[in-house]
Amino acid sequence: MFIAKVIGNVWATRKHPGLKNATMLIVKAVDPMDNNKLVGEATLALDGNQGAGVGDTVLIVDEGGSARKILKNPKAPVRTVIAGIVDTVHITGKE
Amino acid sequence: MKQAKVIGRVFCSRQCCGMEAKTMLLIQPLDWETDKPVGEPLVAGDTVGAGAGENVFFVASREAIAAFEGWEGETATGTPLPPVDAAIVGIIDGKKFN
Repeated sequence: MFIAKVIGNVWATRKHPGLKNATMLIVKAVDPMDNNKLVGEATLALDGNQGAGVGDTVLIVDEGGSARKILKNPKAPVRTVIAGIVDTVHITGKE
Repeated sequence: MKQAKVIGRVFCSRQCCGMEAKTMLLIQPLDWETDKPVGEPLVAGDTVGAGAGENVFFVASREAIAAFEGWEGETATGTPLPPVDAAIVGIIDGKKFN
């Protein structure tokens, strides 16, 4: 799992039936040790009923089995899912 | 899941188990933000009827097989699942960044 920021959204009419009604958001990992600086490559994540939107800091699961469990769909062809919305991150020794 | 552009199609007269009648497309992965090519082109199974030049998104690794698993009678009849490691699962209509 990693912490990421929602930077955009994607829409598609023709998609796999397993992705029906899913919100598709573009997320980019952040580094909580470095003032939440955006790092790495942007990736497409599905919203697992969390109601996340652009600008939110979110918790991402990047593993198929867990992703399907979060979406409550045992057959969805999905790997990256938003599992939660992050309120705060506390790092020991940092204020 | 990553963005990609369909750049070609792959035909095979002899195919392995479960690959029969599956459309295999050659795709070039793109960066979500800049739309610039990232990495090498790859071959992916198609589940949505994508065509040349279209911007699509695809799922890689084991989850690609899930895209062919029991959807709309796709392999529900007991035919073996195709051994794919990338599957196109949607055609991008648009995207927006804030």
